[in-house]
Amino acid sequence: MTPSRVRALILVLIFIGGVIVGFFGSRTVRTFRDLREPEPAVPPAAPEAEQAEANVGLIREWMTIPFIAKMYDVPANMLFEALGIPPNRNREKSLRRLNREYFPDMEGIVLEKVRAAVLAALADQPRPLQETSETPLIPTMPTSAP
Amino acid sequence: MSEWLLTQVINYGTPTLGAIVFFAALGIPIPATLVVIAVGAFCRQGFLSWPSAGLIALTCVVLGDCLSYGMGRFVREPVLRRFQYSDRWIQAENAFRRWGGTSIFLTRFLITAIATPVNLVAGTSNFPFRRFLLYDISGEAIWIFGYGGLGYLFATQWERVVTILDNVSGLLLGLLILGAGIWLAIRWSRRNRTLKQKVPGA
Repeated sequence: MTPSRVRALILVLIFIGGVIVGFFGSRTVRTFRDLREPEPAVPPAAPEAEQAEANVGLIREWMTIPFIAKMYDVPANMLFEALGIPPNRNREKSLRRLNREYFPDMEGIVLEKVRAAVLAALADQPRPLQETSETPLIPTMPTSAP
Repeated sequence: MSEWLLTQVINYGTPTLGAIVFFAALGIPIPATLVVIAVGAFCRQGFLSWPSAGLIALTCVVLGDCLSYGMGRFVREPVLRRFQYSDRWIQAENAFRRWGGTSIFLTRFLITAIATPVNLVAGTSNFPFRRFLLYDISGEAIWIFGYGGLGYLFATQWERVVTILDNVSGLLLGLLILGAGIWLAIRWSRRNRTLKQKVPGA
């Protein structure tokens, strides 16, 4: 290789490497910073409704109805009912595809409806008993005077 | 593409995962790392069983790597004819024999973008198959169980892990190119200095 070609190769490698390092380096730093920052979603002491709302934010358009139903432990048929579409032949379709097929003029409506239906189903579910400082772990026997 | 793949994984489970990693190992541009991390999260959520998902994925990815290594072996003769068994080719072959193991191992999980070219070069340069298999299985096990483990660990936050790993992988590739440029520059300047000392006035 001639010296001018070697010089050109060195410059190209350093330039391309530098650009890639700069680009991905800044993105890496940003994502790490985002990860270290506290979740803006919900503090642990937030009301239950607020927590559930943040929770349904995890539903994505690539998910299917049975997957979401299992994820949140709600009946799949109830979600199909909320969408007003039959479960048959729709079980394996993603929310995006259901949206495209059944609501082509309303982008994102299936996702919204499913989130609302899951939220409603979670609100209807019986809540587990919550422990408080006043709730004894072992029932205490009433003390009686001798 | 990645969303469609995720839908197929949740619909058809582990066989889809196997197919995805197999085709990715052949060099087809599929976001396989994303799927592996997502599958880790699905295992945590109870949709898939992690031992079977891990074993099937590992088997399929190693099969894909072996096939691309085999393709490299298959084109060895035409490539050798093209380069006419030149000294440079022999030098490159020796260099790969020396550093090939490390590059096979590292490209399985760290710089995955160049994993298939490395497989092809390994096959073309006649890198011993048993050694290839050893480095390949070790590296892919880290990829499958390490990355899948991250998905398992972070569960619902697996998408964030994907973003970080994508960026780190790109950063490493950039550092590699930059390092190669700097190394070449140092070598070139040293060579020039030696030449100048040997030939005064040059």
